[in-house]
Amino acid sequence: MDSFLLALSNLSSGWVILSAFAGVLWGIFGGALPGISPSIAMALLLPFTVGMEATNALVLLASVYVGAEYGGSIPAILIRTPGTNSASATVIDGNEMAKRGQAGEALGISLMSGLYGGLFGLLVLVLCTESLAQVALAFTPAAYFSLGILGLSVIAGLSGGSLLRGLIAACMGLMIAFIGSDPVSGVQRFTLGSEDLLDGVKPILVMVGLFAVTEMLVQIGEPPWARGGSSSTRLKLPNWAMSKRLFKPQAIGAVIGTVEGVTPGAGGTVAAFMAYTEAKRWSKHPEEFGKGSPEGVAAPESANNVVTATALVPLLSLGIPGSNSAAILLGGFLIHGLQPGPMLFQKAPEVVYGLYGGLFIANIAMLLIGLVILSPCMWLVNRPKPYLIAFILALVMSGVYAIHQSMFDCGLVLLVGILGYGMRLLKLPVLPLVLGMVLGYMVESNYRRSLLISGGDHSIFVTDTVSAILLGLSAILSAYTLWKEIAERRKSVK
Amino acid sequence: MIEQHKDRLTGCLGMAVSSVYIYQASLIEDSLLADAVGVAGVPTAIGYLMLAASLFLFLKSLLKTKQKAEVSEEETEAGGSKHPHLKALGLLTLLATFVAIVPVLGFVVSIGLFVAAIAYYAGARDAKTLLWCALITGPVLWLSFDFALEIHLPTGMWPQWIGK
Repeated sequence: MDSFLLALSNLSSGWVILSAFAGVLWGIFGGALPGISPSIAMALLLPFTVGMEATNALVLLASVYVGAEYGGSIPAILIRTPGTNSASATVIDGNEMAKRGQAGEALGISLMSGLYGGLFGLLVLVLCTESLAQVALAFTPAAYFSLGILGLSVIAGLSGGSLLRGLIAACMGLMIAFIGSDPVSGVQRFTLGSEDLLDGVKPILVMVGLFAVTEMLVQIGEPPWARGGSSSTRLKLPNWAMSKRLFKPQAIGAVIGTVEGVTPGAGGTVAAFMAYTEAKRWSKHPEEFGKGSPEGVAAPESANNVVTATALVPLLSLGIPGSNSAAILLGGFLIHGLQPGPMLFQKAPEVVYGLYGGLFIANIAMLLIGLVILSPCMWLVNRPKPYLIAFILALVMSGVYAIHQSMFDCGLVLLVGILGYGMRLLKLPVLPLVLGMVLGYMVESNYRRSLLISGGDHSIFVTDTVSAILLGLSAILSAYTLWKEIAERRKSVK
Repeated sequence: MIEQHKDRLTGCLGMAVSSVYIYQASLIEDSLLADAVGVAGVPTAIGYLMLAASLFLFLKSLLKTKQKAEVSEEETEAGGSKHPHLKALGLLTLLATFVAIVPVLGFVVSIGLFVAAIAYYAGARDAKTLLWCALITGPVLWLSFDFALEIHLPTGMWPQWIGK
């Protein structure tokens, strides 16, 4: 109870409030720049936290994470360029809404869904950290493999009506994911002798190439007035009727984000894609998905913002950093002589509960800063198209260069842009490719680790309880999607 | 392009890509540390899966009854370029030129020239605005990346040219 009161007292601490606002602002700036991931934005601030008081330092870092995960959705909606990996699912309907002149609505939905998601995640973090930590502990390599398969099972829902095309695109994504060092032996694969490919191809490079560069290649051939959207720069928050409609996809996103968040390594990208397909599956208007559905924005945005809080569950309770961003936060703890884990709650409760209070302020800061900056952002993308294309490409090239400080990456993004252009001509869906790319490493490395553990016995995937449940769930979801697709096709033929 | 032709082309390209991938996977030498699946095991399996899916798509397109030609949505919009693919190729050339000149002229100068060139290519004709764009973009990006984010953008050959 004392600790809870301590958390509440932080809500009025000037330094905590300042740290939360500064962190969110910096995070939104970093997240909105393609190539600056949440972890990079956090890492850049890490040295500055050395001289700060522990609670303020950790609130600052955690707020950057909150801001960056939200910031990624701004360019995803406005210019079809996901600022972060987890914003790539928001591109689908967010950018379609912007093209229809509903950028203000899409940004408003994204902001509110992000806020609800962040607050829900915080509630889960405060109330269920200890019990959810047991879920993280139950995940063996076999369970991780099955979780990857569950992620891949949503491909059918992202294939735009042709499962075969979706399968081909997913295989392409997996093929790209296998480039680089082998996860078990370290042998080079498909690097063509290039040192730049030893570390593999970063998913964000593929996403920026597929979405942003391809879009610019298409738009350059269109008339100046095409796809201009509306000239309105007013941010529109969802009204009561819309809020009621968005409740279900936001709840779906919240549940999926919680599960994926507490699982180390799963991350917001998979959560966002799964939330998107599940929201489509349970929607009363599934036909609107992909054409600018508000629900298609709400579900992934809710999911990836829930992850900003639930990803801290394994870190705080077990000391396991489940993602790069959590690892940077772990660095913040260690700098201040704190070791996250079961003892943290006894040794430094004021820091833990201070962090909870700071995260609450960070979510409110996200709302307030969003309300201020989104209209200018919309004004910027309503500039004349020739200049807009030039500036988007300049931003993309700068952001891509910043990832590894390598021009090789810029060339790679151009190649992916050509691939995306070809895929668009052939009507091959790009989302299964992105999902295959994101999950490829996870699926292969855990498949092989499981077989190493079992001595080559494949039954490990069904004898492990969590793995068996996840595989069963994948089978049910795939069968349901296929059945629904076949039924719809028969209906349209009739 | 009609739907059938797209399927046929996708199938052919898919088969070609997966064949090359399977061949490349067969060239990977197994390590002493390799497990039962092997370094090339999973990539080869995915290669065969894509080969099968592409073959199936190709055969499906051949077996399809002659449908009414469905005109692609990507037809040129009125007022747009008559040759959108050529226009895209031109943009790609500009992008590739940018990637090539950065190591020589440095990021700040190259990005300024790049922005002006692309805006001009996309239809901007106001010389003053183009000049301002070229002059402002480089320093703004330099301030954002080099100064605020401490990510150093390439300086090109300038230090050598001015004897630094």
